Amino acid sequence: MDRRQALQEYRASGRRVLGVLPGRYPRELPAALGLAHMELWDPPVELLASASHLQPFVCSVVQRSLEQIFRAADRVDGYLYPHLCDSVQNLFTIVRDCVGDPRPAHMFYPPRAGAAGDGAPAYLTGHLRELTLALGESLGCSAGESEMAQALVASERANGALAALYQARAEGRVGPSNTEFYGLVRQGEYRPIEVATGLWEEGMEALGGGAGECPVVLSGLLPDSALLSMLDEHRVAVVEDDLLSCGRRLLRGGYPQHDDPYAGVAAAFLEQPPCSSIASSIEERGTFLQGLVKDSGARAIVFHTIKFCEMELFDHPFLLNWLKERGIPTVVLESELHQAQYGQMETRLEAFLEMIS
Amino acid sequence: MKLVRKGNYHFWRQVGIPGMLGADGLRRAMRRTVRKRRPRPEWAGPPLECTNRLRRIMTTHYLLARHASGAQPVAWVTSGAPVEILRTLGFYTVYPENHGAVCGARKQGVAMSAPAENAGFSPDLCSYARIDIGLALGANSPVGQLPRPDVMVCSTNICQTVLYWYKQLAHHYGVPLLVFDAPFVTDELTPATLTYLADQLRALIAPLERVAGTAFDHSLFLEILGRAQRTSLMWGEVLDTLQTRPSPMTIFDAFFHMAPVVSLRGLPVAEEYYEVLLAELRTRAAHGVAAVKGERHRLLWDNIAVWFKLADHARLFSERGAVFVAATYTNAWAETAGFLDPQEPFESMARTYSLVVLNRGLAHRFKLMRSMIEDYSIDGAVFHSTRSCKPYSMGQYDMKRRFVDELGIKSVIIEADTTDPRNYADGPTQTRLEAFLESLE
Repeated sequence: MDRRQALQEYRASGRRVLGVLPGRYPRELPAALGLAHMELWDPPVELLASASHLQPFVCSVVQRSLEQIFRAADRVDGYLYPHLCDSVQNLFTIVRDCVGDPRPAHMFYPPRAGAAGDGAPAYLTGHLRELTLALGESLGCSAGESEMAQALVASERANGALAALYQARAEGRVGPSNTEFYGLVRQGEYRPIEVATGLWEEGMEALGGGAGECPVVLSGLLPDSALLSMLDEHRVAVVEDDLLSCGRRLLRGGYPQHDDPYAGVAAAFLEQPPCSSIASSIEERGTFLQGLVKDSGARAIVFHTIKFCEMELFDHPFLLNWLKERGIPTVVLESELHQAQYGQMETRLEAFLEMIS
Repeated sequence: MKLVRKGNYHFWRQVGIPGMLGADGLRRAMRRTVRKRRPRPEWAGPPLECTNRLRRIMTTHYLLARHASGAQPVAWVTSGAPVEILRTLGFYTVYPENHGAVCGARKQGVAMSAPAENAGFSPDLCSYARIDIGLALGANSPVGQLPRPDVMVCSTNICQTVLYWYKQLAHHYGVPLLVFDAPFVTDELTPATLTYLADQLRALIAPLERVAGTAFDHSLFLEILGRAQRTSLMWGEVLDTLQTRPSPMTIFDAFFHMAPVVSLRGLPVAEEYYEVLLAELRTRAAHGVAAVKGERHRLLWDNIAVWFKLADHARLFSERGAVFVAATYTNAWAETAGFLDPQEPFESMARTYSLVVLNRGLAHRFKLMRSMIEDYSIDGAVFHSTRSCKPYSMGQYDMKRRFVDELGIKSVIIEADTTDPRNYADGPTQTRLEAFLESLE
């Protein structure tokens, strides 16, 4: 089922829909409030109206997100903006304060790595309470402690199913194409938690196809479909990932336990892997990536980044050096999201594959 | 060793640098008598007497910085960092953003960025950051070398970019990075966020004490806090004098005269400087002394300056009697100073440092600009859309539309950069600005 079909299903069932912009966010929040979530940066759409609001130096993810917002009129009931970066922050205020979109919009601000002191868990717990209340008030719903506790249980189960899927891939027990694998993983971006969980559990059995020959870790923002196809064509198997929308949301070690469900959601969120969006240090990111390479048997790391994405671009020079010093080959592929031509990127990938083969 | 370095630092502070500046002043004076002085443009009013004082203060700051390592703990800080805590512990603070602006104004942006770009940092990244990473990787700064940091202190209240940038520098220098994380304020500060902010400010003290090797003196902190507030409020009064018609100073002048409130806030020298500047500006205003003769149009500037084009822009506008008298950028260091309260220093600092214009939405910025339009009798606005600063630039297309549609204020957007001339097209920009100026007639 694609996003459009999922939206139609939500509409038909009378379920209210929360549009979620790019970034990491606690999926327990909409679930506890009985809202369907719909992450909004995909599928690819032609840029039309967004160009009159955003400069050309704004990344294609944010450009396309705004385009999706314009097209989502009457299809979603409100928005949640995870504070991913300065561009998403300003997208929030452009839509709310300038475009005049009447639908309620809320921001989720995750604490940054290295924030002074040890107040991040308490802040995040309080922030989640405030946000749940505000979302509920603006969308006519509510969530008590028990709803949040149930959502946390569902989220933990979903995480477990996804972690098992990742583990099976890393061990070569499932050998789907990269396109198939991420097609399945990304169902979680717009299907209810319990539905996505079921799909991931079934995926362990259902996924087939020939695995690639050259195992790599994929890092970056999004699993761009053209890039995945290219990797498939070149028989490259992504055996682990450090993608912001996928592997960086996955708790590979399980959920921390808490009596207070809000504190539990906050703790689980803070346990997520290091990420450029919260400015995790080079050492943290490097160590995490090194671990992925070691545990999955990958030969190299392919970084995919979007033009103008500051948080990723800033990290590359020193992070790549850090990995190189530890004998891990890397390549950076930069593109616009869903760009028309990938020839140059393919040439670069081919050269890299020859080098590591 | 430390004693030697301290001795060296105090020698330069008390003898060496004043002597150098005195000799430099003498050399300049001699040059003026020998060489024919370049005539001031016809449009220019009498120069501000304070400018020489400012030059001495900032030159001293950068010269002294060269001798600070080992003599004083050195912190590299962002422009929105809670510097009062560092001043209490005796840190010598260096502002890489200010350094980036200086390099831009001296047209050194591209040369300074080159080592960073050669190391793999994308030319699409903030040019201030590229300059400072370039410096770390071996570029020669026009102000000489900056002292090696003992700690980096970064506040996210102006952008996330500074955090990505400081993270790289902290990694490169192998020093601690202390983060004051200021969540974006969508409407009002919520209780959870206020507590988070105030707790972080308190939590900064212990690691900074360790780096400085000295204990935090709370009464000295309150004294510095009070001085910082007075300095910021006085900076606000300085800007208020530009409400006078004709304006006694332009915003292009203010871009330079803001240096002490940004870089030396909390130190006596900054407070004293604004006392003198304010007195001079009030005298000029009382006597109708204009910064630009024949002032006809009063304009608002949005965003950081195009540093490498500042003189050209000043000439282009001033020749036509158009004077920039207000800017959101210069106002940022005065806007929230009123929140500071010695009775609750950390909570009030949390408000002061988190409610700045760049950490709030466009509705707040529009309201602020609308009040500037009224207070400063603004006729038109120039929006500088800079590739280096997304949080400042994104939203300007809509703001410009609102200016025209809701306020009837003529406006223009120029696409440029703070320090990188490769992102600036001279001809098209000039044409746009000339057309804008014609529309004001």
